[in-house]
Amino acid sequence: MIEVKNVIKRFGDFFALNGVNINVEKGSVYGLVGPNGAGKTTVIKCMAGIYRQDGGSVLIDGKPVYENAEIKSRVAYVSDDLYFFPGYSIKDSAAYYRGIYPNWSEERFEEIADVFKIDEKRAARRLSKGMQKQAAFWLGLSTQPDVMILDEPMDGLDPVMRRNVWNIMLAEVANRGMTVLVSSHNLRELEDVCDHVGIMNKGRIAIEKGLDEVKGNIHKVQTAFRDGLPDELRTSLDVLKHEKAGSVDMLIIRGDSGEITDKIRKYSPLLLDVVPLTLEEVFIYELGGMGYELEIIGQ
Amino acid sequence: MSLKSLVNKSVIKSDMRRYWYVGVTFALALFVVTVLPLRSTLLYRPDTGRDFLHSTFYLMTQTTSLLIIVPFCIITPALLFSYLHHKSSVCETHRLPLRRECLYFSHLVSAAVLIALPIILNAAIMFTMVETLPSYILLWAALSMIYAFEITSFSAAASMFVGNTAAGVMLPSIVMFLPLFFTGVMQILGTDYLHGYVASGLPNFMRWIYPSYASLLEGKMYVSLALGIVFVALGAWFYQMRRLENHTRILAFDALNPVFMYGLAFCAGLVGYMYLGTIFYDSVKISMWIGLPFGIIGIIVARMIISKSFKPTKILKPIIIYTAMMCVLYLFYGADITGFEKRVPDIDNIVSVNVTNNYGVTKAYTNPSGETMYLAENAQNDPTLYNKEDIEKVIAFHRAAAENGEEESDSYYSLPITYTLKDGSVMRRSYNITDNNEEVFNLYCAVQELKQVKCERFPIVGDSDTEYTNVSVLNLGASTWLDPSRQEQILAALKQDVLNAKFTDTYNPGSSITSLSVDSRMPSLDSDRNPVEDKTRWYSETLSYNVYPSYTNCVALLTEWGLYDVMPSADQIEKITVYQYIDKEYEFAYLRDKADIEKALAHIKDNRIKNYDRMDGNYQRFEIHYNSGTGYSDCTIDAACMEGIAFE
Repeated sequence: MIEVKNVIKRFGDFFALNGVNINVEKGSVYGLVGPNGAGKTTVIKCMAGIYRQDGGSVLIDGKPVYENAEIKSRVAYVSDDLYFFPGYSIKDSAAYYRGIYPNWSEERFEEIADVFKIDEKRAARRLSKGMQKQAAFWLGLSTQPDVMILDEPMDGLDPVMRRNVWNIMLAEVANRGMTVLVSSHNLRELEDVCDHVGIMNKGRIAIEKGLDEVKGNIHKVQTAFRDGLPDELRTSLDVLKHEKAGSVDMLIIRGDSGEITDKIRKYSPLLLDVVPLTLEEVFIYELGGMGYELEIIGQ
Repeated sequence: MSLKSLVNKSVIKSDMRRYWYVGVTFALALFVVTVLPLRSTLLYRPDTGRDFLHSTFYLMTQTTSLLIIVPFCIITPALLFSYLHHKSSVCETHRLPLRRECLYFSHLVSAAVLIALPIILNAAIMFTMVETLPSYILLWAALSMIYAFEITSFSAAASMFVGNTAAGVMLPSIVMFLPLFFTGVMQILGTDYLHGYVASGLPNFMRWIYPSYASLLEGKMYVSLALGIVFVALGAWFYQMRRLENHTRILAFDALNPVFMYGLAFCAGLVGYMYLGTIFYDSVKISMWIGLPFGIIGIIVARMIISKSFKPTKILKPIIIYTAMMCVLYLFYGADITGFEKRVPDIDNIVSVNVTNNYGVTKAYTNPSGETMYLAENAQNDPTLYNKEDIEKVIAFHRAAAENGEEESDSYYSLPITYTLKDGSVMRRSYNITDNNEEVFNLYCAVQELKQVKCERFPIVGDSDTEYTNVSVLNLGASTWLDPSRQEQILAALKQDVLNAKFTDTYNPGSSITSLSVDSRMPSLDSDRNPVEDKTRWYSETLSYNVYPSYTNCVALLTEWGLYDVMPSADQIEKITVYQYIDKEYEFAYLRDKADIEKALAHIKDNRIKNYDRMDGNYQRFEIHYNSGTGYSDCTIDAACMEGIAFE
């Protein structure tokens, strides 16, 4: 559905994207995560057809997005930095989009109105940040997009509205096969909705896998040995992080969980406990493995 | 590509909704400068004729409506494309399923509506007010819209390569004034400093940049249309090339930064040169270098603007490059490394030479019929020399002037020369000289005394179809018409005197006491260039010939008729104001007493025959006010002849 192939984007001498590859399958929810400055918003703007990439290609359904009105009419983009025309109400914006998006659905617009409960005659610029976000979703979903690209979409929404918005979008995914690409720092939330994850760092995609695959490849292991952690065992494992609390060793290990436990058991541990990692922990430890500064102030 | 893919109605409607006030303000501004004056004319002159209305309308459109159009045509596209200059709005607009050309042309259509509607509306109001001018009003509306199209498309194109709205308004505004600025500078440099440089074609060239109602009619409208189309195409191309991430920058294209930086440096250099050049007036070569520090300031300011910071960076390299460019400029102009200044063409390579001079009678042809008429070829200005001997004299002067260089002075003689060479090229030079260098001045006089040049200065000595209708003799406070017999005598005498006169006898109008006003008419050509038989439709002119003391034949005749050096009587005079300027000291006095007036009149009569030295700047000027209160006359005499007047 969405193919980003070796995309390069420079701002002056700085390479914001340095050979990015992303594949998003139709009907999937793809979470794009990464540290600040990794290039997430830049690649999203390339996907939305706003920026022209300096190299590589950005395709939706095999067709380039940039300057392709037909493809862009099937894409809804909700940015982190929303813009409404001065003095325009949601109703005015809807009238504006009606003349631009061929798939605009008045019926859908009315349906979603019941969810958001915003006065459509109020000037959009006078709404709170959260309400502006809701309005952006409202308008975006009314265009009946095949692809929804979201940049920090839930920022400013209350928990109830977050859930409502995700429910509407997931219903669209289930009913119409809509594809969603979402960039967010709220990994807990992504963990609930995404089926694929891409981790970006320094203008590249470091990891791109199914969510289960990402989480299944990295584990937190708590173990204890009579004479301490054997060096042989330590070196035979792909340890991303090692902490010691008394006689208990806490290890973050990349690899298959069965293989890891088999290797540890050979050394007769007094304690062995394998705990699944959250997406946030995966993010932190994977990036730590790539040299990203993991030291968190206050810990 | 269909029209639908190029223009989106929703975008246009949105533009109209957001920027309606621009159109309304423009309509009101046009109403104030066009409709109201017309209404006022009709109110106070209800019997106004068609011609008067036409001329009022012409003046009105010439001076004001075109000026009003310019700012609105710059601001409107700048506002319509201002979404390009903000991060959120540029993303919002460009995520829409609209191609860039669609956005561009949709906004251009919006601009066209906002600009054209007010013009049409005002034209419609004028139609209802004046029934006699439909063609002029239509023409006004059409020409205004054509000019508006040029400026709007230019501003739209400029909006494509700036990164913020203020720059979008400033850039086209500055660019609009640049031709005026550069032309002015080139004129000053060419006339005052760059020896031999001629910029004579520039004022005419400006007509094509800054149009008037008349120049639009003459053909500028085609230029405007063509330029408008070029700017539209350029704007579309710039929009395609524009990187949207460059919003908030001053210039959206990096490649334009050097153009902006060096452009500003040269402008700053020229301003400094013009402002401080007078301090180093005596040395052209020093004053040329004044441009350097000002240019460096320009580079620093440009870097501040580009980086939007008061701490300029990356300035060393551009300063070195600019200094190098100034050195090249100096070598070219100041040191004449190319030999441009010293070049004198070989006589064998010359086809003809055209010389212009400013020391003859002033020609002002009028066409009494008001129809479109043309001057016959033999009545055109500027003598063109083909005779080898004549050309040799021009070359001799040119060579001497080029060798000796120009001398700075408050007063000088000038001679623009235009050679047409055998290879088809044209070589133009212009020299300003003084009479301090005798050799150069004598050669200059030799050129001025060529018969063909003299004919140009004094048409009476030429062979033409001119018919003289009236001659009057002008003395202080009196004008006397001559009868036909005397007319014939004085014209024959004048012709002989002018032919005999040397340049030095005639270059100084101050040495003339009496003058002859000669009315004449000459055949004109109709629009098909055929001679017009009806003499009332011929071109007419009135030339004033000074009678210099060396014009012995004229002086003898006028003296015999009692019309030479006639002075008014003291009874006719209410007062005489005397202005005296000696060694830069200025004084003046009023003479009201009859005895003083008589004394002054005698002083004038005795002394004004002596030529005053127009080069030393010292003089006495007498302003004679007559009793009737209808006016005054004045005469100027050399300050060396001031004895006899008591100065208080």
